[in-house]
Amino acid sequence: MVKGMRMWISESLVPWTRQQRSPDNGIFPLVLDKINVIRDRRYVACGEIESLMNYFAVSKGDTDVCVVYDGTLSGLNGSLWAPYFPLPTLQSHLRIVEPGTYMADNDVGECFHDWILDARVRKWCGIDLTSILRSETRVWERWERCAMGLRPSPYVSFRGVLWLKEESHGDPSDPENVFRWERVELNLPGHEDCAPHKSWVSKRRSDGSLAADSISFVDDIRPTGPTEADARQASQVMAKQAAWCGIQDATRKQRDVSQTPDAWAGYVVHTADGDVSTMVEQTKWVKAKAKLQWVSNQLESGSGVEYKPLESIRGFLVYVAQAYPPMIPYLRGFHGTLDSRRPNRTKDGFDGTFER
Amino acid sequence: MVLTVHLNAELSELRVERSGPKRRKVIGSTEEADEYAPSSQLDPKFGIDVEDVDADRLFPSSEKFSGTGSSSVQLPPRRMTLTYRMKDDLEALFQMTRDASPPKRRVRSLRVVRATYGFGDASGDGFGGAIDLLPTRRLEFAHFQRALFKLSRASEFDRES
Repeated sequence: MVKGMRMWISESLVPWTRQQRSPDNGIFPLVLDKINVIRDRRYVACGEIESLMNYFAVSKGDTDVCVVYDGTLSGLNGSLWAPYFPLPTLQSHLRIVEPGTYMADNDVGECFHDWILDARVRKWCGIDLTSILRSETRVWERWERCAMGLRPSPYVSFRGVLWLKEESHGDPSDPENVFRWERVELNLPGHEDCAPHKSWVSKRRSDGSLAADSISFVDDIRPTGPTEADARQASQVMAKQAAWCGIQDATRKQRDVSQTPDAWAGYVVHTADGDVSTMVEQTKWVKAKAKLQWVSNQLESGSGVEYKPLESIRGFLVYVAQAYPPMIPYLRGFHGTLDSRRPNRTKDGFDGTFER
Repeated sequence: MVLTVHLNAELSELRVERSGPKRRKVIGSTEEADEYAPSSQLDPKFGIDVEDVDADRLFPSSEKFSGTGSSSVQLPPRRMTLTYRMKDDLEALFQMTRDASPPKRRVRSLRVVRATYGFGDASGDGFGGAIDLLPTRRLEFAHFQRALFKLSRASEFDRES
């Protein structure tokens, strides 16, 4: 980890050394602030550079910007490969809670920048700072950490956070360990003693209580525990382990343990009043309604709908439908419309290859 | 009204302009590589506009798809015709999202009832189900056909009636 996680390089890169254009005056100070931060923290530094990455700012709220370093335009992302990896879903979260479980929230600060960039890749991750620093001479520096916009960054970060989880959970047989567990309990439908309030598969302590656990959605970590004290200790152990590993634990974003905590990965999970219940955040709910309204307007206009926005809306509704499964059958219209461009499709967009 | 403003903000983020692939060319030098990313691609305000960028750079080989099985890169069309069931689906989704706040959905509960009678049937586009529960004796029935969603619920259903 100190030398950086090894990345897969599929082909050599053609150097791309286009001069970086200065951002618009309206956002120039904001971009400069972001650049100064990564320079001060040595996330970018001087070194051998063969190819540059273009960078640009995207709005983040009304008063802030997020700087994205575009590994696609330079061809770098085409030369790098990262494996597929699954992210936990709402269902993954529900496995580790039952009515009465306490939950905490830990957050990894600057999740991508916590990870050292593969030494072989750094020379292709140069950024041209001449225009943003208003320098007379050329200023090229290169990324030393995983950058936003680099293809393997999500994989590297998430893999690192899973290592953190494994390290912090420790020895399950240690009676002093808050994450201890003795057995895996199956509580499946059809079992004579099946209890509907428990999850189908769960880790149990010797006293039969649900073991403390955690689940991570990249930088959003949710430790859980059967009691308030256990959940607080689980949160504390994970934060300390992160600090020990050199991963930032953003304490300013940490929230106290609760049975009715705020959102995790956009989903709200409550375990109070003898129930496990889920919903999405209010902002996500309003956003879903707005997107549906947009599609409805397009439908009424009769001129079809743009592909990319519809694809984006479909993705968002799939996300919302995780909390509300009855919505799932009604997403077929979206799937069918988007897939209707493929060959051998029926009038509703389904694959008609085997239709007789 | 608020929703409309929010919607417009959303759409400005979603809109992506894209052109078809340019002619393929072997890039041998830095200068030639620069030709493929002219400064005109830069958005005056926030950054890059992908219009006129070489499609091979925007969509590396792993992201390409070919709808007809030919070797050429086929990008999705800019506009799609909505399928016939979209209208019904939207109607159902509007019904489900009509609340001002997101409803809380109970997933598991300590309060457990025993089902004494259940009935369900699925055929074609439709589905129906009825269940009688103890001790609350509540009957729930759901039916949707061609995405027309109806839900009737009667609490404290009287078995004798």
